[in-house]
Amino acid sequence: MRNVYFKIAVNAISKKRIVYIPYIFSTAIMGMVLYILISLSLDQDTSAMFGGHSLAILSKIGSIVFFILSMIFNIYISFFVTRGRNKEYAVLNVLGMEKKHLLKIIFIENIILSIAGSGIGIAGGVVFYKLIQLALIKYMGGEINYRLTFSFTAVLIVLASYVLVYAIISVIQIIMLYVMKTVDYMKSGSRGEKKGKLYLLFAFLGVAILVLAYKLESSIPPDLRIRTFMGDTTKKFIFASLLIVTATYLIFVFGSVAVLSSIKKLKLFFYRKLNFINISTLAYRMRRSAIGLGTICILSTLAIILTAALLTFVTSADDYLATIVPESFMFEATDDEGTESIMSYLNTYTGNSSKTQGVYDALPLLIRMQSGRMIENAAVKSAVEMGIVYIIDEASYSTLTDYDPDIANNEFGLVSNEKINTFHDMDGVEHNLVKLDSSPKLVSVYGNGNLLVYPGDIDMLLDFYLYNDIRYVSVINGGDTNLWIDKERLAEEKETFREEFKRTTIYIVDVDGSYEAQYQAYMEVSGIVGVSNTSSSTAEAMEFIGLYKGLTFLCTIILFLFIVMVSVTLYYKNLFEGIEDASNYEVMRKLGMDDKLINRTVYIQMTFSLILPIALAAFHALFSERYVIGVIKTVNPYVQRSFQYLTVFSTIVAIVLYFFIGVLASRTYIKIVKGQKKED
Amino acid sequence: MSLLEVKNVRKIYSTRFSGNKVVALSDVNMTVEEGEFVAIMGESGSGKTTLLNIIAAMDDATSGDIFLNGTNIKEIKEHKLAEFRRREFGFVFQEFNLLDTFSIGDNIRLPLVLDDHKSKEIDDIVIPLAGKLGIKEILDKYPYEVSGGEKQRAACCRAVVMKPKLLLADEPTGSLDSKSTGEVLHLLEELHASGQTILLVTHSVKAASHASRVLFIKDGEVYHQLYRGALSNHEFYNRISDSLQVLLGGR
Repeated sequence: MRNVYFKIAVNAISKKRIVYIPYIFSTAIMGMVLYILISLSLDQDTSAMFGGHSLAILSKIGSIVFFILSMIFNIYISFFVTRGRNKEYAVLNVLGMEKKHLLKIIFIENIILSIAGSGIGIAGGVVFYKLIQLALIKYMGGEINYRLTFSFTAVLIVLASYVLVYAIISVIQIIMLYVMKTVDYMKSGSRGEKKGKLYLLFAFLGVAILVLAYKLESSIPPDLRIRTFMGDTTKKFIFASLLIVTATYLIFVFGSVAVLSSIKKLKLFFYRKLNFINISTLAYRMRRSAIGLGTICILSTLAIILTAALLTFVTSADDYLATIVPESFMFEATDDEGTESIMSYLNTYTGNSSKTQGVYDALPLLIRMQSGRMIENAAVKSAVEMGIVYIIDEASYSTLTDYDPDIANNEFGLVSNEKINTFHDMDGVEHNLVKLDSSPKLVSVYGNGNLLVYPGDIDMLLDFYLYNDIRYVSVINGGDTNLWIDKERLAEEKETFREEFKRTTIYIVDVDGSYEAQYQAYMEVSGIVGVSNTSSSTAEAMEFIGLYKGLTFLCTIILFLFIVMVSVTLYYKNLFEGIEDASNYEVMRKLGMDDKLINRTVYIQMTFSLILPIALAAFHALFSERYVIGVIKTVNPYVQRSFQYLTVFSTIVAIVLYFFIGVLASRTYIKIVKGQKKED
Repeated sequence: MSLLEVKNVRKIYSTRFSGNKVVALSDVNMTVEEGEFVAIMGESGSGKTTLLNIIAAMDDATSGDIFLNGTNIKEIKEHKLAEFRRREFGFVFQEFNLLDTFSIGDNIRLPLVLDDHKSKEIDDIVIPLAGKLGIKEILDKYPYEVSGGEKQRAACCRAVVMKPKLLLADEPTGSLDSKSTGEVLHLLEELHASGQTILLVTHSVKAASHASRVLFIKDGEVYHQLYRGALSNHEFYNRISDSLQVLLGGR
């Protein structure tokens, strides 16, 4: 008897090859990519490359995100696949099979499907991983080796993911099997379109939620600061994204039917043959395909955002490199000894090929970041609240920005993202603040923090501070904001302060040679005693290039997957709709509809089903701009704000791509619809 | 000139791989005059549906000719066939073949829309006709919301909405209970009385007894026919039954 279930399961799969083979391959592709991503995150050879470490982290995050996406996708597609099986289960039930026997069949089927999917997926993963790894090493400039790698951990994780996915699918099928009655299964799927005012209500609700979500996204500040980026903004964005997903499904499920029903009332328009057939068919279909269209819309949104973000990132990469590459590295030295030892070391190490490009003075001051009202005599509570403000002289600022700020003697220039209006000490001496712009070069030397630009010589400033016993500067946000100096604490720590409060000189050194040689020099210098705060723009550039290439690589893989997902969704949508519509078209043909008209209606419906999700996806993508740019800025602060154009461009690319997928899908559909004629 | 002339029609199906030949129609000759209600009777597999499909230009004959109003169907170009079918024939099927995607009203409107009628004209034709056939109230409903009899009346309405020269009905009562069968047959009679030419394919004696002439088809050939003359439905029913008993006994 056990064999009977096995035979039924195997027969069902082999008879419905047209359904199951693409399904097995699509799940195998998911498994393959998951294996590749996990292997990348674990591979030592990959991590050893420049940017490899970032790539490994990205792959790890990518594999988690991808796993969730593919799991949802697999479960969704499994509904399509099992859709046609219900009648068969009902017949078996009528013939005397109990539900527990049907369960066995379902269970065996799922085991076969998961073994086939994971087997092909892992085998494909092992083969393609080596190819992808070699391509990646070539692309990122690492050392090529032809040793075959096989990650047992990756295999285990992939297998576990299949077990999880098919366990969920089985549970859903079991619940459906027990909830539905045999008679429900026996009934054909033919039901007319649903009518009712609720549809209109839910459609409006969907639009309202969408408007709210867009408003939320638009309220994200245009210039996101990294400090606030991971906090409230991300929460806001995630909330807005969830609203968008909800709104998208509501609009497709209810809005489409509501709109199509309204169009039906426009008789002059509706009673034209193409409109008549298309609108009626779409209105009928929407009950089922709306979820599919919503899913295509969400996937398309992700794909468009990803493409536009990637293009934004890639097109801005050169700007970033241009700002950081000219200097091989920079270091800070607080005494001449340190400087001398470095310079002499460099001369011997690089054979006099190094030259000092610029020497900049800076006076670091501790600042407190404090929101709300000004608190007098506030003590420093913890290091976490502390930040550094550099005080630089006007000449340095001019050199680094090619701009003469012309600051008066009683003024300070301020380069800051904070809303700071005035600067005064506790003695009541007020200094006007002149808001100054930053420049990429300025940031490469001093970083992204607050800068005070002093009009005179920095030694004079030092005297000024010492004379005025200034120690702490607090930046107070909100309302009238002042830089505020805590004198009392200073008095207690005068001596320590004198020691600490040394002038710092920032040296920028350029070393000839390749990135690797420059990087090597930097690594050597970093080890020298007496040097602090070394940083190398070359290392930064190399790390950036690695990250940039890794991101490009990962995004390409994920884009490829989106294409697979959309194609598979479309394939099944058309396959099953084709099977269901075949008899309808046969009747229409008998009633005098010619093949040309059939083809035209199919293509129009296909266009409609593709354009709508993409159009809405483009809107979703455009509204995500501020947050996406914010994310890109965490990696590349010099991002060009061309995201909107690139979104439009990505949408056009998606439309062209979908057009081809659509044509292929339509052909499948037409083939099925016309195939009915031959069978008769 | 007869409205429909079927001359020496032969249809042979050959299987794709083995090349075995199955003769569906061996040599069919028949005519239908304008205003006639003709029933074709035969058992399953006798070739009656094949004949209907060939008459309706939905299938090709292996040899022979079909003339509708003097036009040889074979000579109509492929791209004109759909239009020809739409204008000259009306169809009623056993399984109603109403489209789930359309309301009952839109199912009836479909042939008119396909024929590019103006929107105002469409309802001017459909609504009075639906009233006449007693389905005006269900025009906004969907096929799944109405009974089998109502579905078939809607299908009849759709079949005559283009005022076709010939109404082809393939086992129109095959899926109906006796009450609905009576209603649909009565409807066909009414349509016939209003001048509609009908060609009915059936194996039901009851259905055939409403026709003015019955052709018997067996082994792919028309080999007998009965005229109603002045007989009532009931009397004609008995005549057909008697003939069938004799005829099915052997040839």
